[in-house]
Amino acid sequence: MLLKRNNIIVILVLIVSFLGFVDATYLTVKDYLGQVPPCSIVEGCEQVLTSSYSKFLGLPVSMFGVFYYLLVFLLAAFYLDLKIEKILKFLSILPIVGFLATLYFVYIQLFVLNYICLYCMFSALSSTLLLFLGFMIRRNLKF
Amino acid sequence: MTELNNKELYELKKEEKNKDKKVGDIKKASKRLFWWLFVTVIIIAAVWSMVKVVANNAPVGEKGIQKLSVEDMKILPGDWVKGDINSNIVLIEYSDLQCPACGAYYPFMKQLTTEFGDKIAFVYRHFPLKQLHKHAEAAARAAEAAGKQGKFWEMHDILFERQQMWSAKLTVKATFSEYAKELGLDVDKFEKDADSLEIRGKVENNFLSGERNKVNSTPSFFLNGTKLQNPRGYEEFKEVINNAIKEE
Repeated sequence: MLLKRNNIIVILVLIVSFLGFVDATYLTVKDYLGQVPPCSIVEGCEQVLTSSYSKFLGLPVSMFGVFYYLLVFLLAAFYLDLKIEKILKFLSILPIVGFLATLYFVYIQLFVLNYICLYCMFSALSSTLLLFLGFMIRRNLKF
Repeated sequence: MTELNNKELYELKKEEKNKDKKVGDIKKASKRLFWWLFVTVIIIAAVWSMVKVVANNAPVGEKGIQKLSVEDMKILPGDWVKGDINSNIVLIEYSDLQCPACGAYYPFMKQLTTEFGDKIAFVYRHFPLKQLHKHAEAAARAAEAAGKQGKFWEMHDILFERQQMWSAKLTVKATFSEYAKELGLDVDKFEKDADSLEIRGKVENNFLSGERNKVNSTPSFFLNGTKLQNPRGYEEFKEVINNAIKEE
């Protein structure tokens, strides 16, 4: 019963991390292949994506998002295949790290840049959902 | 006899069980194979489709529907023009000297003006986004003031090349005066001009012409009055210009 419930949660993790992966991939590809985002008075995304906060170690921060979501996605896929409990432990801890990054990015958007990029906020949403799913896994496991 | 039969029966059953197990193993293995195949395909499909989406977002040099008004698409008195001022092909740029995207296009523009300078008129108009860039308007005035002494483009170049440096400063007046000195300008006159009503009015007029024509981002390029989707690199920009020359 408990195993089954975990299965459902992990499938949700799989879906959410996949959506986060698609979103972060879009932003990363845009950074490398797209136009130079213009400076604009109407849209907030350009301000966010061209700001100095959009790069870390010379790479677009969205790329770190790609790796994070991909890692969570693959861990979930591994769990569904092998049913190793240790993976669940990872799936409950990793999103805490992701959520801390999310808090930082949302703070930058709201209080430093005063602009909101919807794509970044979507990533914040999926990261928060992963945190909740991680908590649910933790409660089921009780380790 | 019966004993042997029993043994045989036992063996037979065991063999059948093994067979079942084997079938089960194959089923399990193929299930796993399908699962990982699915995972791989879905990841590749996601990346591939995002690349497609981004690539299709801005078709090469596709012309938009946004147009400059008939008066504003011509070269206006007071406009800064490079290249062939009498050309039928006019590329107008609405730009903000503090905007990083304009800074990114600056080398392209410079290369285009040397490559197509004999065929096209390149027009620069100020569109300082004051809400975003606190020094943008002062920079526009500095370029205009240098223009009063015949060095508009020289100041424009310095301002773009050192954009990151002065953008970060709290005040820029002294910095701009230093640039003026570097260019061999009369600094007193430069400072007076940069602050003059005339130049303030000119920059404001440029801005208003952009606003009239619904410019809301920089850089905005208009080729013979029609807004361009910003090209993604120098080669693309060149292609757009070459097409315009061919059409001519």
